[in-house]
Amino acid sequence: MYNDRLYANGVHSVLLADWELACKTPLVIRNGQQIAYSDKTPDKTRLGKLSLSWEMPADEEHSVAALHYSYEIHDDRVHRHHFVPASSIRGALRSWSIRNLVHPSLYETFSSPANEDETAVNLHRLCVRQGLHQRDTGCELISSLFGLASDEHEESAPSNAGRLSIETQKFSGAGLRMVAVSDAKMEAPSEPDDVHRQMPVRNPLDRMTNASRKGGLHRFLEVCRGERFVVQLRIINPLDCDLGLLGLWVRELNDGMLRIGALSSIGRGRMAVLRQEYELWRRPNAPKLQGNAFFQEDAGGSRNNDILAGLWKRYIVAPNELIKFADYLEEYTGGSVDASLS
Amino acid sequence: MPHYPNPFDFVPFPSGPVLRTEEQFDALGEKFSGYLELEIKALTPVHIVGRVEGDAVKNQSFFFRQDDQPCIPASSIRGCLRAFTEALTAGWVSQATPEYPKRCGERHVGFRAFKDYDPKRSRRSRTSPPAVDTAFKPGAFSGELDVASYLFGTVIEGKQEQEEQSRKSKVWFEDAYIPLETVTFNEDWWAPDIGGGAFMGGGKPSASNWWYFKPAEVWKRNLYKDGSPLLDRSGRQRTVAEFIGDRLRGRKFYYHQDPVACVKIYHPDNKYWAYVKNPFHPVRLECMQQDAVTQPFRLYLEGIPRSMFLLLLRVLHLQSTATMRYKIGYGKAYGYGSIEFVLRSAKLRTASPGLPKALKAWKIVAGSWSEDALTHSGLTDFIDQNALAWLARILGWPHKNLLFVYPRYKAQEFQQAVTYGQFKHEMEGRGMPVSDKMEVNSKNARDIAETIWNLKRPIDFRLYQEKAKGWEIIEQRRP
Repeated sequence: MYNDRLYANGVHSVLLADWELACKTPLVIRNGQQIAYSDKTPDKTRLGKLSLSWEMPADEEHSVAALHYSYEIHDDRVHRHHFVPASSIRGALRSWSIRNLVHPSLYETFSSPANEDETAVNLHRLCVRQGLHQRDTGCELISSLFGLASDEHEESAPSNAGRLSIETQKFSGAGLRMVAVSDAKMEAPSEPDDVHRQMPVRNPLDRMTNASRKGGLHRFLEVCRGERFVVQLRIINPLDCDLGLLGLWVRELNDGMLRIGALSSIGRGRMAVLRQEYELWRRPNAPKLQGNAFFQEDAGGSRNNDILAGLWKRYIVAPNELIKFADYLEEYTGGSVDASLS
Repeated sequence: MPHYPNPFDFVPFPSGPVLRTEEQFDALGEKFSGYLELEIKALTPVHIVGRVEGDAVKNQSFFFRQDDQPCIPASSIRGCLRAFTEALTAGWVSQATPEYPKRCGERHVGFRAFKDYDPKRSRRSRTSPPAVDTAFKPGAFSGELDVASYLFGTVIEGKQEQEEQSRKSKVWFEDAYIPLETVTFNEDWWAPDIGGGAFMGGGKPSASNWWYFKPAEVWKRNLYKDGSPLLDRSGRQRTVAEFIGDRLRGRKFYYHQDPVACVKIYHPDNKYWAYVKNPFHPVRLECMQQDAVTQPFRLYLEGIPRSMFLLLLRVLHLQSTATMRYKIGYGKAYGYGSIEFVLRSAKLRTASPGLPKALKAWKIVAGSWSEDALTHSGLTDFIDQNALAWLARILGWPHKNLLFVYPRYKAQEFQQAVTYGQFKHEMEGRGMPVSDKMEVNSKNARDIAETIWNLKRPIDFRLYQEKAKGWEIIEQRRP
């Protein structure tokens, strides 16, 4: 049963996971901004002298949905770079977990209803109460890993910080290339350039004329196939079921059923997990995991310089062993969409 | 002399859309997730517009590329299948240009897709009704969805931005990449174009004729120039008969044909087609060759109930006896872009209590369009049989060497205006009633079009198609 005192016995172990992900299909991470591009070609030719500018578009016709980026300052200079925010990874993992481990009737547990919508607020409360009451609804595990927020006006409502935290690193692809627009190239002199990007152009067809629907033309930036980046996950006081869930996430990422970013409807965001490493650091008197047989104590390895080195013991979990922990997940799941809540 | 049929036709709208709540859709059997691995085979050369090079005289259009590799974008594949699904299942009209305003010298009668249109300044005050029954506007019945929106997702506009509703797609399409060596230029692959303007300029539906629109009225229209009456040689005001429509005929699809044979007809050397105002020049097209096959690409499903999965397999025309094929990309009117889907493999799982299972190889057999088979698949209530019959006619494959060409811009065809005097003379000669403003139904509209056939052939779209050479073959096509 749900207990929001996740660290009542202190922090006794930490699971560190590194994934190197490669984009098997293009990746779209939006930031809500539109930027401008210009086309200096004469009439009736297209995709000639294209240039992307780091400015607000003057009109819709020359507007491009931007790709997420950030800034860094080093050597007293501002450097821009594209990257996949940790929130995108977290959102994708959380969303997949809710859809596959929680019964649809309890989905409202994980949404934040508008305060003025009394019906939605009541439904949310009911779902939280019902969902957290039983371990086999899936709600407890997801709340524990990803956190559970409550309305600030309801002090008695359950809430907790999540045990899972995620960081991402910048793209490690070739970068420094112009933006591809079909086989034309678009200059992007003042844009981040750490990753290979392309700009698809889309326009839905009017069903009555089979011609482009007026007002439907749109462009967006996306990361090209093959680009790579690293995701680091950290789970505090990991349980056997957490390792099982990690195994499922990797399986589903590789199968394309768990996608990162936007526009999965046109195939964006399928990943391949190229490299995965798992380390469990434990306090000597930490509670034992039931799946102890699946990991081994390791004194060497790449993380011997970790802050925990010399303080706690380090164990390695082989990637192929991870899915064996899935059995421990059974009691934490509410079943997939066809399961009934009895 | 018989004429070629127009290259497109319409799937008529049924009396109303078929809608269900999400819960009703969800209850249509166990749910399937996973992916189908498909290929696309080109049945005629396929062109997806990428970079266009050239000037006002010579143009060449390169195939769309992604990562320097020719590619059919997922959005094109998705749109192609969604448009078919919407027509087949009496769905909403998910994409429609909202307004075609009245414009001086261009469009005499304005209209809107889903709203009344009231011209602000007009000699003749006529409010055009919505060109499409508003029941087909997405979200017209709140709380219910059409089949296509359930499968492909939707964004339904609200009166205010915060009322906008969206549903995630349950089918995800990936891009289909094409081996570089199978995408080439060929001297026979081109599309007709004219200098200084677009050739056909895309679809131009007009409520001032009975081409895209169903017949509603015939008007005596007085002609003006620069605000003054336009007079004939005897000093009387010139008048024309104007054939006004009220509702769009249906959803437009293109027939299959051989593009090489088709574009030859449009070449000036053929003398069939005249280029008077603007000089002709061909646009060379880099195409995926006929019989070439894309690399395998994936179509993902996420929690699709059994009946809808069986529908999707039929929509892909995967049956060995399939008689319909799709068109994709540019130049559909000339015969480019005929394709078929080929299933290579499937990895699926069904939803069940407990953890999601690993995807497993699955053998897939698509069902037929027979009534028994549709009943067995739980699809009878979702299929518009009349739409299915029309889709089978329009998308029928093989095309049996039929040629489809737009009506020409010459005497007796599109260019020809029918003067009101001629119209009145022909009508009275047949003893048919005539007045300056007369309402018509589809039956007497057809009689009118028959009566003035020798003055102008492309008056009533349906009559024009049914009098074209090869119509008897088209009419016999079955799903």
